[in-house]
Amino acid sequence: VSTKAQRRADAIAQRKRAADAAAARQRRNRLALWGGLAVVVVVAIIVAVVASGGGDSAKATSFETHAVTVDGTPLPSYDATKSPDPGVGKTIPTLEGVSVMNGKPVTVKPNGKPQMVLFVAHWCPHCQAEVPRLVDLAKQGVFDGVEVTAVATGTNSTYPNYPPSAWLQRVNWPFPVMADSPQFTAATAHRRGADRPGQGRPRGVEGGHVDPALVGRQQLRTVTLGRSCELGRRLDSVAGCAHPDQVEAMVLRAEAGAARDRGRGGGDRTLEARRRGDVLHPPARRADEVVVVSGEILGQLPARELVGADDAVHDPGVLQHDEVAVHRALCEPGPVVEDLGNGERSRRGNERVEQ
Amino acid sequence: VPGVKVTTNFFLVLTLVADAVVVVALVAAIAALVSPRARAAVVSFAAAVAPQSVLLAWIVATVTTLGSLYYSEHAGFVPCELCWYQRIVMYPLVIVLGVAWLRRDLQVWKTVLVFVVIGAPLSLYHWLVERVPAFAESSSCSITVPCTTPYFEKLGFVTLAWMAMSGFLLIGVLMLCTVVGFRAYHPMEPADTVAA
Repeated sequence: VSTKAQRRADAIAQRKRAADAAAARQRRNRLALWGGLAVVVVVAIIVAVVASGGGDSAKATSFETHAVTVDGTPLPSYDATKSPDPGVGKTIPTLEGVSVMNGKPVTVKPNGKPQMVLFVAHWCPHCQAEVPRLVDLAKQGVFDGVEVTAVATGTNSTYPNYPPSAWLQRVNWPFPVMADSPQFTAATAHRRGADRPGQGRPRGVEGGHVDPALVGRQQLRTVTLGRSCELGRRLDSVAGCAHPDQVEAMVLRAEAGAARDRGRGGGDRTLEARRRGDVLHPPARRADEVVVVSGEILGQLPARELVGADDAVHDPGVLQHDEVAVHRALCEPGPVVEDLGNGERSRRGNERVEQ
Repeated sequence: VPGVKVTTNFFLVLTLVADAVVVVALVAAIAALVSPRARAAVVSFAAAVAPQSVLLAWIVATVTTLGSLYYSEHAGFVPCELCWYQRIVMYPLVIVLGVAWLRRDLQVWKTVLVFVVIGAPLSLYHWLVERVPAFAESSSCSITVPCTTPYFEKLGFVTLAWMAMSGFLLIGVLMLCTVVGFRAYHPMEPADTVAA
């Protein structure tokens, strides 16, 4: 009996030891698991802080943001549901500010010359991809004779790629850069970032730029759609002026004219170095802004009114001095004042263009 | 709130750890198919992790969700269309796994793996859209917030889409640990309660 009881006690003790061992093993496992997790988190924090504290933070100038004076009526907000765009026929407001680089005065105003106004935010990946592409085009002379001004808006020192001055210097941006105010005065005057309800701040500025991923694979095509076609946010409205095929036709027609003048053909439809100094589309000479879009983007956009070969979409007689048409107003058919195929030579890089 | 750069580096480290776990799990699974010793080791490891796997998966889903909200609400990174689809799949996991952990419900792996099977390929597709032009051309994302442009890219391959994929895969591995670990020690019981 004693032996039997002993064996039973031993068995119970053995089971208890096994259970204790299993519990201990579970405790060890749990400890190792959570301890390992804690180590991972601590290492991640240390690495994050150390890696972020590296010497790649560029020094900001004193003009990363600066007050901007607006003279004129801000463009009305773009409303995709309305047609025509409320901005049609409105004059772009004059912006007076300073350069982010050195604080020197920078002005954007409607002056009858071809202009491109580019709103960029340093943290915006689309801008980061777009700007080097524009720099390449500038090196090819595509913007010769075009007044190009960038407006650094949405500036925030806690966001990536700060400051904008260092970024634009790094990519060799060759044109003036106006600093927008902390209240985004310039962007607001052009109704950028304030287009959507609840987006008064230019968070929306990241939208509307040329799709850099598309740009990366597609040759850019310069399309001048007339005076003061507002860049960026309204790109869809602006590009909607013409069907892609039609834009192509416009470019080809311009090329044909240039070809007659220069004695060479224009078989390739994309921008190339050989077009250095040319603004392909003759009416660009009287455009206040030039919009650069890729054909692929145009292909994604809905077509609006068609521009016929003889549509005088840039008829200077239609508008008063300093009055500009924007967006679809430029596509309204009008009297014939200019035959795009009349062999008129595209403007050379350094030529002054008179209104 | 920490800056975007610090936060991104933090998530980068977590992503690399998750990737390492997933790769080790994959190699171990392949080894287990051919080697009994490897199979025993895998089962032993899964059994050790299984009691905590639902909680760990919930932590992964929560951190991923918080990271996603940080980037969109604090950093101003507007989510693209594909990002939204991944969010739709990831966010419910916080609730599903949280409730499962509170209820000690091990059967949740069946539900969670469905989310993983949807979410991980979606993230992979988004990552490919960001990198392979052929994929980008087939997508129909908007011009304003294109899926083709990552907000950042670390080490040449880690983007937000890659981070999301790592999160989905890690949750999947943890759920498989739940199944393997529990079945190894309770072969006759339905895996519906947590032993711990």
